[in-house]
Amino acid sequence: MRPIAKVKDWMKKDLITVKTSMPVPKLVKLLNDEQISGVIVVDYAGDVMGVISALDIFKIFREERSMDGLVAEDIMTPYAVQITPEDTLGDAALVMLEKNIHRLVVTASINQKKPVGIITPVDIIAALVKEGGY
Amino acid sequence: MGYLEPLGKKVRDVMTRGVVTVRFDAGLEEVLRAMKDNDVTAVVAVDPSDEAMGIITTFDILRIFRDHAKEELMAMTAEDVMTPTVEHVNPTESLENAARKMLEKKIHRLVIFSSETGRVPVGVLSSTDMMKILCENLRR
Repeated sequence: MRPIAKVKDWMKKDLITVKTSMPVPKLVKLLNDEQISGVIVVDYAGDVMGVISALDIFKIFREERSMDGLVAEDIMTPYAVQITPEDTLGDAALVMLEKNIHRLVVTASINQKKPVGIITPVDIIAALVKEGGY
Repeated sequence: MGYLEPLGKKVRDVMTRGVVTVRFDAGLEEVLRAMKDNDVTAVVAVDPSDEAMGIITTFDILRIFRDHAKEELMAMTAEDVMTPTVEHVNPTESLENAARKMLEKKIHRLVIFSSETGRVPVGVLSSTDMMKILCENLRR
């Protein structure tokens, strides 16, 4: 992978975020309507707090809980990974593999928690193919 | 997991029919092209009789790019890259079973093998497919 390939050049900037207070039934509808397998959860200030995937929703049912009264914050996986637009795609790939996560939320800098993009293995592979990493 | 059982729906009612496959001896470039052209994040590697040998996800691709030099990558085939265990369900299984399997293995996708076709994959069930059923149930 060319070291100059940066996260900022390949991340998706159209983000779907939900507030920590979003009711879970509404969240299920959103995932279905948008045909996405996960969303970013942000607090009132717009800072990333967690991520929710379809599996987090299945977990509710495995535990035989009801969706009623649950909000995004109750079921999200807290998000603690730091990746910024200036990091290389190689850095992003290593983080994904080490932490076993497919969706990295990109924030403007390490002191900033507002999401500015999202990067997935598909984006990295697209870069590898296009930039002749392969 | 009652929410996944509205109207007695099964895997066959929500699965995506058909699956993108590559031959086990396909080169890495062909694997990448199959993913890109079909806009999928996983392909099934099959033997000459179309039976599944393994699955290749975008994660497997990242891993081999991390672990191998460019010259080595050029010589690699689907068989070298694939994860040899294919997590699967039958079309007649309950969606509850499918959800349990996804949770247990922490995966978002199951390959469908039917009793008539043995290990020849007939479709894929994704966690996104299952959201549809959850939504239908919410509306009831």
